[in-house]
Amino acid sequence: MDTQELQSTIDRVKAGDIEAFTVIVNAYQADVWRTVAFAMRNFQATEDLVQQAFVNAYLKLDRFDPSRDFGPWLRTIARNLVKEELRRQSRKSRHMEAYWQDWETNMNDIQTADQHEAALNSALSDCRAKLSEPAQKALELRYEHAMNFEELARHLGRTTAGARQLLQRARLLLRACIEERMAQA
Amino acid sequence: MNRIEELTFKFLDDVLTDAESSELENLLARDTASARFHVSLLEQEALLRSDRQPADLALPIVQRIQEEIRMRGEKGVMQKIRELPRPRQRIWSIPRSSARWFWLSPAMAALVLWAALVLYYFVPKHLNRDAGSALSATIVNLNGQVILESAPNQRTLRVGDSLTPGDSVTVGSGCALTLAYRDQTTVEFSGNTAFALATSGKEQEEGKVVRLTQGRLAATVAPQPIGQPMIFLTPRTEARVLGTRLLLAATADTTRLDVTEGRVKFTRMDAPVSWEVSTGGYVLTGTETTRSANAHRSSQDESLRVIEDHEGPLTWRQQPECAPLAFELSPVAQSGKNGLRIVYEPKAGDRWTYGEIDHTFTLKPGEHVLQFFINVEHYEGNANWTIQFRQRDRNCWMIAGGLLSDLGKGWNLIELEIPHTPANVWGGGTYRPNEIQELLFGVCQGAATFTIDDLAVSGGEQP
Repeated sequence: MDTQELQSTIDRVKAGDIEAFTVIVNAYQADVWRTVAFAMRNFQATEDLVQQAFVNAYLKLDRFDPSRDFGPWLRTIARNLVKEELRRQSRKSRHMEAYWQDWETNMNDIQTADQHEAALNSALSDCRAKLSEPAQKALELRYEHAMNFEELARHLGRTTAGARQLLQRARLLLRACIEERMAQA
Repeated sequence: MNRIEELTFKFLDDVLTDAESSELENLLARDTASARFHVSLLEQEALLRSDRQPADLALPIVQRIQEEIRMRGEKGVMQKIRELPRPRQRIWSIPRSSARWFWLSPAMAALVLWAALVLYYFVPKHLNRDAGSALSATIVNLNGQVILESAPNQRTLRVGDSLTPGDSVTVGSGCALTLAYRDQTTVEFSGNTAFALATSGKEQEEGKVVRLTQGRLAATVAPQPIGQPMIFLTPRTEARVLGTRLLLAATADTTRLDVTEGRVKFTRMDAPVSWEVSTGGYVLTGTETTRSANAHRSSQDESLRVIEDHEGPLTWRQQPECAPLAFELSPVAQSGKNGLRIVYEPKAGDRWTYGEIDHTFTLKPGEHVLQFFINVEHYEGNANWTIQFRQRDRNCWMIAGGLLSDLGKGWNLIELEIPHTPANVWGGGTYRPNEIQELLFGVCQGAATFTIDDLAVSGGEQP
C-alpha cells in the first residue's frame, strides 16, 4: 500500500467510514501477526491480540503522524499490547520466562528488532529450502496446517513416533542452519 | 538427542509431564548453555508458527471497533448524565428505632407486592413490548396469509406489525414474510414455514434468536456485537452468526445451512459436533447422514480410523451383478496423492440400472459412523451416489445415498450413522463387530463422474 493510498484510507476512516479500516487491516495483518506470534504460543491468544492491536490503532488514529511510517507505528502498538500480556502471564509459564525476557530486551529498540525479525525470516526461508522434501512437508503440515502428530503421521505415511522424530530432526537442522546464517549476518 | 533438546521438544509439543517440567526448569536455571538453546528453539518455533494466519481478520476487527465505539458512546452518555445538575431532593427521615416503623415496614412491603401483581395482571402486555426493541423485528414485506400464533394475540399479521421475543408465526403455503431488525438485519421466510423469536428467558438474554421449527429462511445479518451473535435454532441444530448472509432450511429431522457470505458456527446439538462454515460452504445434517463442504469441523473425532485412503494398491472390486463402473486411482485427492475416480455411463440395453464396486473391512466394537469425501466432476439428471454395508451371513444390509446435485463444489464430507439395528435394512439383522463387512459404493439414475477419498470410521458408544 503506497503512502497516498494509505493517507486517503486513513482520511476516510477518520471521516467515519469504519469499513475502510478493513483496507488497512488487510494490508498490515501479516506484519502485525508475525510480531505478536513471536511472543505468543497460542493461536487464539495471538488472534485476540492482533485484533486488539488494530482496534487500538483505530482509536489512536488521530495521533498518527503522517510523516512517519505506518507499519512500525502499528507494530509498536502491537508490541506494547504483547508486553502487557506477557507481564500478566509471566508467573504462569516459567519455561517461557527466559524467552520472553529475551524478546522484551530485543523489543526495546524497535528498529533493531525489525531488522532482527527480517533477518530471521530470511534465514528461515533459506534454511527451510535446504531441508529434505519429507522434512519440509512435515514442517508445512505441522505449522501451516496445524496438524497434530497422529494426523501428521497419517499424511506422511509414518508411525506417530516416526513423524515426531522426523519433525524433531528437521527443527534441529533448521536451528543449526539459522544460527549459522545469523552469525554470518 | 541430548536431554535439553528432548525436554524442549516435549515442551513445544505439549507432551511434557510434571516431573519433566520440573527437570526442565532446573536445567534452565543452572545451565546457561541449555537456557540459550531453549530460547533459540522457542524463537524458531515462533518463526515457524507465525506463518499460519487466519484468512480474514478484517471483519472481526471492524466488529470489535463498532463495539468499542458503542461502549464508549454509552460511557460518554453516562458521564454526561453524571455531570448534569442534580435536582433538589427531599430526604424523608424515619427514625429506625421507632416502634411504629417496625410494624409499618411489612405493611409497606405487602402494598408494593400488591401493586406489582396488579401491574402484572392488568397492564396490557403490548405496553412492554418495546423493552427489548433491539430483539424485536418489524414486518417489512408480506405476501399471503401469515398468522401470529402466540396466544392470546392470535391474528393475521400485516406489514408494519412488530414481532417481539416469544412470538411464534406460521407462514402459509405460497406465502412469504420479511422481517427487519433495527440494525438492518433482515430475515426472509418462505411458505410452509413455522418459526418463533426467542422463546425462553435464557434465549432472550442471548440476543437475537430465531427458532425455525420447519421450513426455509434466508438471512442477511448485520455485524452483531462481540459475544452476542445472532442465533438460529432448528429442532436439531444451532447456527451462531456474527454477520453474514445465509440460507437455512429445517424439518423435524434435517437441517441444511448454506453460507453465502461470511462465517457461521453451526452445531448439531444432539451429537454435539460443530462446524465453522465459510463462504460458499454448507452443512446438511440428518438423523443418519451429514454432508458438508467448506465447513471445518471444530473438533476432530479422536477415534477416527482410516479404512481406505487410496495411497496403496487399488482395493475395490467390480460387483458382478451390476452395470459396469469404470474406476481407477486418480491424482485428484482429498489428502495424500490419490483418490478413487469413478465413472458411470449407463447404456441402452444395460440389464441393471446401477453400478457398484465393493470393498471389505471389519467394523470394530463401538464404531458407528462412516465418513468419506466426494468430489463431483459431472452428473446427469437425478444421478445418485449410494453406499451399502452388508453382512451377508447375518442377513443385514443397509443402504444410504443422495443426489449428486445436492453436493457442493469441491470436496464434500459425508458422514453416515451405522445404526446397531439399521432401520433402512433388508433382512432386519443387527451388525456384529469384528466380523468382515462389505462396503458397496454405487451410482444410479444417471451418468456421473466423481472421485471419493479417505473413507474412515469412528466410534464412541454404539447408539
